[in-house]
Amino acid sequence: MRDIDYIIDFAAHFGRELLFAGANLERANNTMERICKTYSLHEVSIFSLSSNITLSAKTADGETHIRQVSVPGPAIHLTKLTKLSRLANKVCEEAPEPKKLQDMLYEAIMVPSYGTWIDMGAFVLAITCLCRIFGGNWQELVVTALVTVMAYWISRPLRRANLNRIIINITNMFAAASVFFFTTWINFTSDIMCMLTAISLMFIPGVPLVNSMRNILCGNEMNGILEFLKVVLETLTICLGVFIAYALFGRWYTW
Amino acid sequence: MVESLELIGLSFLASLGFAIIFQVRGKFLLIAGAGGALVRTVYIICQMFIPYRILYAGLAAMAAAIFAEIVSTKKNTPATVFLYPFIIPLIPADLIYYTIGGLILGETNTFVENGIDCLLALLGISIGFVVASTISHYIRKFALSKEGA
Repeated sequence: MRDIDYIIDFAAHFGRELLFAGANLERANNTMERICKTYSLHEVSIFSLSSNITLSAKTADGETHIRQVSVPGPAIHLTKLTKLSRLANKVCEEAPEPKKLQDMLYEAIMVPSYGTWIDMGAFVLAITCLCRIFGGNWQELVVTALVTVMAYWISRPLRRANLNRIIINITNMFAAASVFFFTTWINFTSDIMCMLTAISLMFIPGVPLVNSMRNILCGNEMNGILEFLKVVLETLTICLGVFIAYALFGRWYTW
Repeated sequence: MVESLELIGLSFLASLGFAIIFQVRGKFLLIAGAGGALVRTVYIICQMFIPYRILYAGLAAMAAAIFAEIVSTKKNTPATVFLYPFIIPLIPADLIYYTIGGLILGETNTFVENGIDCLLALLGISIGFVVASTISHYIRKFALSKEGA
């Protein structure tokens, strides 16, 4: 492999890792451009969507190189994002030997994640607090906490099996809404709204939702619209899960 | 007052929880929680004086973005690291819920009214972010040019 191959491979994969860790498109594009310019590549052209990056650049002797990489669905990892950002600054300041770039990237993305129990505890803490913010009493908080644990364990194997988010959302919201209808039917809880609103935040892609509007406002209209449609579709699947539960068990509860 | 303080405390915990979910570590976790509390405080204060959600959500988002920019500059991290946990208390989940409810029950008015409010709230949040990040971009540029001169 020649130096140019190492550099352009690194830039494209760097952009992919940034998007995968939760960076927005502007940031990923700027970073890829900066990396290419550090190594004196010019006419850098980037076409990126949240699912795909195409990068092309010209060397000093006029050779054009192109790379296309696909981006897996985002798994927000903000510590990894910090490490990647620091690596980008280092590369742009020091311009290390191109052969070393892939190893540096590999090192930056090898960041540990929290264990299962901490992760689940964080979900319970966040969703239960949100339920209280939406007006839940102690019974509703208890039910919400238990349903959060249930949803966590239902979605874990489904995510591992790489199932579509549509199926994960429908399954989880159906299960959650069914429990909420039941606890309301037996008069243990009274306000289904606060519980459903809080638990739906576990599945509503809040960050992509805000990012999509931001992209539309910042001139990345095409990606913004695509992302917005994706978010709307995912939100509709949440709605579908609740609807199925309502159709089956709605007689237990008056909306 | 007590209710507002409770909301602020709960927002701190909710943002802290989401920061762990987003794999934030160490002292950044406390900053994430503090940001959530700050956003809620601004939200509550603005809500008292401004009747339009698009405006008070936008101002709270702007506060979140400015705080994220300040902390990220000091800690040498991307602003996104703090911004994502901060915005959780701002997501209009209640409006999303009512929009869904309207859709399920075929209540067109509920669906349309809440759907529009939800979009406006999201637009307000996005505008808040864009305005704050544009301002901070120019401040940084100005500071750099001053350093260079």
